[in-house]
Amino acid sequence: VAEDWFAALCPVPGKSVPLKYLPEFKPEKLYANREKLSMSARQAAALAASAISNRVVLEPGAILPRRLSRKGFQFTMENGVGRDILSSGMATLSSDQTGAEEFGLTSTGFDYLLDSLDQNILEPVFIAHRNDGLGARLGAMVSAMMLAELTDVGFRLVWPQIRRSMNGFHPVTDAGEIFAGDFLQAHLIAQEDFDESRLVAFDDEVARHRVRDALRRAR
Amino acid sequence: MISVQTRHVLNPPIKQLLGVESVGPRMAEAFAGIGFSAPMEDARAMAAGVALPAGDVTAIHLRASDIVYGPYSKRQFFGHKVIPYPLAIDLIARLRAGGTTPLLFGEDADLLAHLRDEHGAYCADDIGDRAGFSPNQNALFDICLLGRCGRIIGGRSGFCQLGARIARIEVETPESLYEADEAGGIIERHLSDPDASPLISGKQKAFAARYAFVLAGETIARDERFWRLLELARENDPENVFLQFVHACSLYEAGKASEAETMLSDGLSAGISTLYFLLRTTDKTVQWGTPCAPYMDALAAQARAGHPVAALCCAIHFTATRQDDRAERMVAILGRVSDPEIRRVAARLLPQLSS
Repeated sequence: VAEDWFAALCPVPGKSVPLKYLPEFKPEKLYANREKLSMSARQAAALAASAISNRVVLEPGAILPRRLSRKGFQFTMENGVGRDILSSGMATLSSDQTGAEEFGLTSTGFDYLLDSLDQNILEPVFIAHRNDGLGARLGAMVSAMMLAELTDVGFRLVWPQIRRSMNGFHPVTDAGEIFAGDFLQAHLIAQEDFDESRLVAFDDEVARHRVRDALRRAR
Repeated sequence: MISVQTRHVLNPPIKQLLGVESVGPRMAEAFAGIGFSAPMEDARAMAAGVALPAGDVTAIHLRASDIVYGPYSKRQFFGHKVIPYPLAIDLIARLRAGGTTPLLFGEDADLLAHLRDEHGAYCADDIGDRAGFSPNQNALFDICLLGRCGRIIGGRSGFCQLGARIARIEVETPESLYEADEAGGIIERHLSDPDASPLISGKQKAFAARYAFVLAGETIARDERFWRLLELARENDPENVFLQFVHACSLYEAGKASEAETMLSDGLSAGISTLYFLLRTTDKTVQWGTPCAPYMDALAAQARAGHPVAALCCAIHFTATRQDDRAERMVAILGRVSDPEIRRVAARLLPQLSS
């Protein structure tokens, strides 16, 4: 299972699969064991596998567990790739409990991931991102939340400040005054972390078809 | 996972894919899933619990703000988000005659008071004990209250559309209720009323006139009614440079190029020229482009026909919007102009000519 899946994520010949069947593998402590190491497609694929399995949205700072599952089997990242990830700076350790580590994806790691992975293996997340009045913003959220629910993917919210020319015409203040803390913790992408140029456009033919198919199934 | 944006997702016909009857309930469910802050939840809960006026309630969402009073009063587009007061008066009368209770939502307190006191509508602002509510709370309260109405008449504003999603119904727009000609007649009649209430502001009157253009799909005055409406708009909002620009474009079209040239020249010669800034406005919508964009082809034709101020306006606009070839052609026309005053103004406003 792991071999087939990883081959789809990272078709690099001659490399061992860095996902190990958990009951037969003893995870060891992870640490950066080299001062300098390049990021690699293999490291990126291991983190992407965790993101897909644990349904984490890829973004700078995303928390990616070492443990993951696929088709009912429990896996863990092997010790080597975990240390490579830390050595290359693709991620840092957010939680260091041996065997249950969590990686914090760095900004450069995020860029590398997007560049190196086949985007067809990634799942969309719907982002509501409006900079105008409250009604339009909440309307976009409702659309995005509905589509996320229907297609079983994530929903995220970006809440920019109101355009200066609109000041005084629309009652839009900081997201913290409008939404509950736990809702924001689960969904908000800070404006400063949001970079449209790093998004894969929905206009991409494959992405469009995937959403359409999901909506047809949801009818 | 990777991110896509909602604006991309809204492109495909979601209603077609999901079925119209299924979208409303799903969106209402999604709205219920938004985790608001405690004060906002208070507003949502209050809106759910307050008593609506008795009877069969139809909401009329008027809107106003930036489109009537702010930067979008200097654009033709976005007008379809607002219901002008003459149509509001007409709608209230029709609804009441049919035994329905009109409930008004909007932002222009004076106009709302007039429609309530003189025409018998109810105002959402009068519902609920909202003392101490923040603007955000008031807005959410109104959205949720809209969501309780059995019928909603409004423009294509996000606020109104969201209320309709919560109510699981579709907004009925003025376009769907009035023919453009009929609406134009109603608007003209109210604008010509010498006894109109002082609570109806000049900006509201000017917007109503502009709205007649929007509904008819007109950008300039071509017949008598639209000339009268344009004049009424200018009377009521004399500082509105966009109306001045439309007026000049209408004069060119009517063959009165000399008057048009004078009007634009006066606008550009002013110390801090708002016409200059209007021509240089580059923020645009996908559909309409910049505020001046719908007028520029006709204005360029006037420039080619030998009208130098039209050429100057075009050169300013094309330079700002990076239409370099077109700007160059207009600058070439200006190079052949002998009028020293126009040459002086052109040199002041166009970087290509200043050296």
